[in-house]
Amino acid sequence: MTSNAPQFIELHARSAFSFLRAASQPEKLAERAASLGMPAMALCDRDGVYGAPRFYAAARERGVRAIVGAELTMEDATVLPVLVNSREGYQNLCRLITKAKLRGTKADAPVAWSDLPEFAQGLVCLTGDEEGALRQALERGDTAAAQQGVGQLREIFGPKNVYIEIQRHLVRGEERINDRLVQLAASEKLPLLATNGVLYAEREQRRAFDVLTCIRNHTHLDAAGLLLSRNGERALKEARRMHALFADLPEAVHNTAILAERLDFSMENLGYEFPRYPVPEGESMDSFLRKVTMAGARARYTHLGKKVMDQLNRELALIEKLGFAGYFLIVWDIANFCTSRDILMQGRGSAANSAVCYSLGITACDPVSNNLLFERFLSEGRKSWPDIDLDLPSGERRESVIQELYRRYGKHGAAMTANVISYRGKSAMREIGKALNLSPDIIGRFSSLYGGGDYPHTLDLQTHLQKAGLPMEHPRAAAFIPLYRQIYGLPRHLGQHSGGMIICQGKLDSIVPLENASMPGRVVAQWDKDDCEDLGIIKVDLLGLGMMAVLQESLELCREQGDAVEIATLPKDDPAVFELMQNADTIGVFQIESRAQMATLPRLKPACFYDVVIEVAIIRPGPIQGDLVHPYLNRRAGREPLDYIHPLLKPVLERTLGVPLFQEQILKMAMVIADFTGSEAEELRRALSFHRSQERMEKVTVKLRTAMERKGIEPAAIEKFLHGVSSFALYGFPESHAISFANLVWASAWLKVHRPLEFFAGLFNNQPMGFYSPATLLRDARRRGLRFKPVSVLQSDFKCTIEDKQTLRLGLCTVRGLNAVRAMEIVEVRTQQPFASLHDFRTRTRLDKDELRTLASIGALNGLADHRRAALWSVEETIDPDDLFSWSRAENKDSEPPSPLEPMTPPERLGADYEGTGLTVGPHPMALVRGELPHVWRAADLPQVRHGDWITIAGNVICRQRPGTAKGFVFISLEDESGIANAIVPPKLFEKLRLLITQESFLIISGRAQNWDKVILIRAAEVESLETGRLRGAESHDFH
Amino acid sequence: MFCALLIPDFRLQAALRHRSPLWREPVAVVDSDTSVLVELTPAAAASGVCAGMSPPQGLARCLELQILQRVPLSERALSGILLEQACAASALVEQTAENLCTFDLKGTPLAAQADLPGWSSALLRQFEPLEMSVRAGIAANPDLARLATRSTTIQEPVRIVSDSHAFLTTLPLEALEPTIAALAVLHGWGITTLGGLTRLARTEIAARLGPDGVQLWDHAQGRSTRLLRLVRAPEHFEEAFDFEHELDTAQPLLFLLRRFVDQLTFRLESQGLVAAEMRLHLPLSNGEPYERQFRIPSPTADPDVLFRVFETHFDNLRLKSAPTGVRLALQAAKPEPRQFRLFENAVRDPNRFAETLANILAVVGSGNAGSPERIPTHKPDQFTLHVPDFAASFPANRHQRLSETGLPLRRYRPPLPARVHLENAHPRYIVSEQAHGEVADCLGPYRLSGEWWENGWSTEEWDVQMSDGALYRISRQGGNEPTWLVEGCYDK
Repeated sequence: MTSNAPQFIELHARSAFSFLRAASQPEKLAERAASLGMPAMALCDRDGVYGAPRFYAAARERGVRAIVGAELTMEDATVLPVLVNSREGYQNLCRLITKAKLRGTKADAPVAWSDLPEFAQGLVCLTGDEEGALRQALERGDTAAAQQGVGQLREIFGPKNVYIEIQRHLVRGEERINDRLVQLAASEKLPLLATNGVLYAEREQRRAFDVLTCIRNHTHLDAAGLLLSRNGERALKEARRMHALFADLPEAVHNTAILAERLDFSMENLGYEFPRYPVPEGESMDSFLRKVTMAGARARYTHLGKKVMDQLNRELALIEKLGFAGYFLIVWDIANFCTSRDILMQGRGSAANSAVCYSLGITACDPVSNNLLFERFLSEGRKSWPDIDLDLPSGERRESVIQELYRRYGKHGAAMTANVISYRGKSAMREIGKALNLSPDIIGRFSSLYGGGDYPHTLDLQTHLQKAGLPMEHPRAAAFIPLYRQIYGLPRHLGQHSGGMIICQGKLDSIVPLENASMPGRVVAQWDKDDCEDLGIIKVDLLGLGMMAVLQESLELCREQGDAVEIATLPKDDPAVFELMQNADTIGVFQIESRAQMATLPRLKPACFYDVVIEVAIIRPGPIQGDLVHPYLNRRAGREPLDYIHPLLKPVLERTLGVPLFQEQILKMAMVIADFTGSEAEELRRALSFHRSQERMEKVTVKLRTAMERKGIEPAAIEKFLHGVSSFALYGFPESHAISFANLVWASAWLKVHRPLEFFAGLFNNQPMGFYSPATLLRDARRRGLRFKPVSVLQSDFKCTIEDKQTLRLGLCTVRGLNAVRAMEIVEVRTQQPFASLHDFRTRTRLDKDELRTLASIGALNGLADHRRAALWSVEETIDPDDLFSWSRAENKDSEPPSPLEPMTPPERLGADYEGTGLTVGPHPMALVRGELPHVWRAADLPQVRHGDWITIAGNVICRQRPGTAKGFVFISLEDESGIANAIVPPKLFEKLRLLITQESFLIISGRAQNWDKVILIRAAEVESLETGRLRGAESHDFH
Repeated sequence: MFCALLIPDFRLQAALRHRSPLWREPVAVVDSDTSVLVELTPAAAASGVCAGMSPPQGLARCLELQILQRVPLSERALSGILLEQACAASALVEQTAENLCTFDLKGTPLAAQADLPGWSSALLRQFEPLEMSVRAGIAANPDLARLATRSTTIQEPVRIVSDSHAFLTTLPLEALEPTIAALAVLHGWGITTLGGLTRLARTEIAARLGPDGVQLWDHAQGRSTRLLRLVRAPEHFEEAFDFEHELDTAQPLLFLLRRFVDQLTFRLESQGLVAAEMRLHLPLSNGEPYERQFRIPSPTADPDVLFRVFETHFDNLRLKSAPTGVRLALQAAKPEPRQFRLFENAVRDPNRFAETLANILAVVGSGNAGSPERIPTHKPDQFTLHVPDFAASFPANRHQRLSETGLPLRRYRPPLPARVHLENAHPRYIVSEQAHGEVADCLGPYRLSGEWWENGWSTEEWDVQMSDGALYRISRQGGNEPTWLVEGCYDK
């Protein structure tokens, strides 16, 4: 562009991160600005800088300078756009928004006019569009108020920092207001500024904007009337068009360039500093880190050999050079807090590649003996902070760690990272369907066709719509499809990330605006974890893991039983544990309990700990999509020769039989075969994990190819290597992470084999979690010889407890609809004095009728009544508090009048159990109908089936799964009284019977048996519903 | 003895009224409030579909299942017919539910004398021409009669209960229509029949389920009796006549209508009522009836005022075919109490004004006269015409702030086609019936578009000043081949 070319900088644009108030992603705006030749552009999202990091990143890539701004909702419901002039201005903006957000509610947090003066420094204000106070005053014809408002802004922001904003959207009547704006600017001696008040990048997106307007106003397009846009003029416009529009006011356009020139703040450096660790006097953070690392290393390594020392010294030197010592000390401090509170903790992710982390007790696996690549964790070229994720037991223990961080750094110094909830298949259809005024039936059917998962890949949108009852001939179908594509992926609202926390030296609220989360006591930042990482803000992931809670509880129970176990000292060569894995007897075991894992275990036959690491890593989308699973298993079984891609790579790939399974291997391979430096390997890592940019991936691929070609690597090897890299682009899995998870796999499998009572008690007490429902877990435990006693108000604690060496008593926590506080009260009251009668129980516990009915129907009151129905009969009787003779009934059970009701039949008991607890200690529902199904195979009998036999299986659907990697095949697990049978449904059959398969809870499936390596699967050819009358079964867990 | 008449599968019958072939196909009616299937055809049930399923669950069992919404209008019609027929059979009738009428046989001599099965079968046959399936239960008290209808079937549509104890014992609990909560408790106890319920002691039921439970128990015993809540068939103020020959002129029709009006207003006055609306139905020789509704702006029983409506109407009416009959129904209303001249109406004589408006509408066509009201849309010139409420008082203050909208626009309806020559994308010359010549100045364009989701429209408007000083609004309509229109001229 020449200097004479007309210039226009858009300084007032909203992105979809204004949540239902604009229709384009920030990236799309940046892309459009670049294509229009705009050198800079400002993004002013509503009440925040939600989209600023993405806009900044996308704009920088395209050579557009991103200007930061925001639209502020004021207390009088008018909207004031402000632009950031300097870092001070940015910090003021963040603090101003934070102040309003933390004062208000999630839905309503306006900025007070009185707050503005305190935070106005470094900000430039515009007078706004039709929502601005000035335009509204002029619309009312209240010139005095308009003048007064402008005067107030000039006083707050200073005369050079107020611009009279003027817009032209080719709408009749707007010139009347614009004339007055021009007059006002002249009389007040303020500059005019032309903007287009952009709401979408291109005019076609006006339709999506209209739909979002309907969603925001809870209406539909037919009724929205004047709420909708008049035309599509609020798209980003090029300089030539803006100059033509404002040909009579050239200075208004010219001023955009002048103002943009002044706004030289960039998000490049927000002034973020990670908190400094308070070290003892005389120590620096570096020296203190060295001291505690060495002390830890001496404790963890029995022998501090040269290899370990070299590694520690190398890591410490790099940490010192990069200035990350404080970060390691802070994470070490969190780990110490967990240890002091007896909270099980384990670092995961690439931190496990660090000997320093291992020495500090942050991670559990030794990277030196495991020969892990430190560069995967930290390298010289790394610009962003290293990633240390801590796995904690889910629930209260993890919350106590989060609250400790809030306590230490204050409400303005720590926050959870946000989680952006976007429109996906069902939600996009629901909202668009409502806006288009489609029948609720069509919308409901569209959602039902997904079943439990959101997997549109085998059903194209058009067919999906037709099946839902919206044929292409429908007058609104033509509008639906482009709208769906425009709205799919747009942000819907902001949630909080499950565990990502950011902390800051000083005020975090001057780096990013903070707001209240829905959860009491939590504060959430306006950016998600990727945004934070991109802007150099460090996050600590405090992830709640159900299995950690199970392990912690199991270990406590082992201790209580007088047979304590320590995870760290569990033998890693226990044959019984390997046998369990080889037999795929892994229900309840961490990670390897899924259907896909269980299908692989008998083929992989783990025989050492590293096999478990591979098992964890191999059943992942990356290896599956990259077709790496079968080569590995075939090579392991000797059915396929080993292939290391290139002789140079043999040392890297040897332990995975030539198949690259881990990110570390990819990085090391790049260093070996393409001579990548540590920094270049870091660049590759970023590209692998930066799943938002295909472009970045392509760039690094070109670099790899060039380097390999330069090195003379043969083309076939280059292609093989690049194929491996591209498979990892989306789903890379670090080896260190797999080792950390394998530790948990090992611990849970060991407990299942050697301490099943404690392990299953832990599982039941931490539901919901894992792949299976409690009903399936209970049946699995029974197959291992465990006995279960039902819930009883006379014996059960709140949690499931161990009664003897073989028996678990179900706890009151398994009862649905029984308030936890009331359940604990039952135990407390009983501890004071045992219940003498049902009357006594009711009098002292004061449960409501529904709770009493549930307890009676599941047999929990059986100790106080003859049978479940007798209890149901008694609990319906109203207790008169003034009945002077009621004490006699309270004294003993026999004083209860006899019940005239018949006891429940076995099917009735079964139904009541599933209704009240979701599980039963009685027979499986299939056992009750088995007599009617002579031709149906029991799951336990399937090992006798021959490959290719035509057989029929039936059972309660406990899992439907349609992984994205399965090319449309659906896996169904049917449970019967003897075990679990698995079936695979081909895509065509699934599409034909989609509703039957996704809606029915009992199915009969016929087809040919596949029996490979003792893994039995029925390839479904016929699927029907098994109508079991009033029988109930467990609920299915559906995944995609 | 009491007789209860039940319309079984009430919602399904209403939805399939006049669509009898669908009874052979799998069809279910969905309740839009609960989104569950409520009633279904035998073919649907045979496919494994059950009431209480969600539509997707129903479709999972039977892909051919047709799911219909409830039809409230049709349901009301069925209820009305049932009540009429019951009232025809007895003077002591209760509308027990929307699909159930109960009546006392005391006032029905035919039933008392003839054999009950024969009488009841004859009664049910009366519904056949109306395309309705109705069943009957006859018993000693109203509630027992109602329960008797629940045990009827297609094969045995009449149930006469002589031994109430034997009958009640096996009847399912649901027949008593207990509340969902009570039913859940009783099912929890394993009680599924009335016999099961009555085997429990009444006092024990009272202690657990309270007065509602006692009432259920009493009903289950079949001994309780009660008085019917009597209703009367809705009084129809209607007169009808079939002509022996087709009429050639309006005179005999008006003569007859005058007599109808006189008789009907006499009946109205005797009950202290007035006419709020008149419905005229003329069966025509070509089979297509002519129907018209006349709202009476100021309800009255004055026969002259009412008859003038017809005189005015028939003055301008040209029927497509000759009438073969006439039916006139008056909708009655209570006269509105109004103190003489204390509150003035918007017009002094609303009925006279309505008559005048009727004259205008007869000339300009229905929907082309009234007060304009803007439709909330950005599309230009969108309004509807409302016939004013003549009887209403003047609103307190109808003045509203006039926005500064500029000069008044006098619209051409329809807009006039034009040819416009552009220069630098601005109108330069216009050729049209009204505006013709060189454009001296122009403002615009003003772009408007909407309804993109179905029948999208877009327009670009310009205000132009012709060289003679005249001001016009012109527009270019969207599309690949845009057309120009002169929308109107501005008053200066």
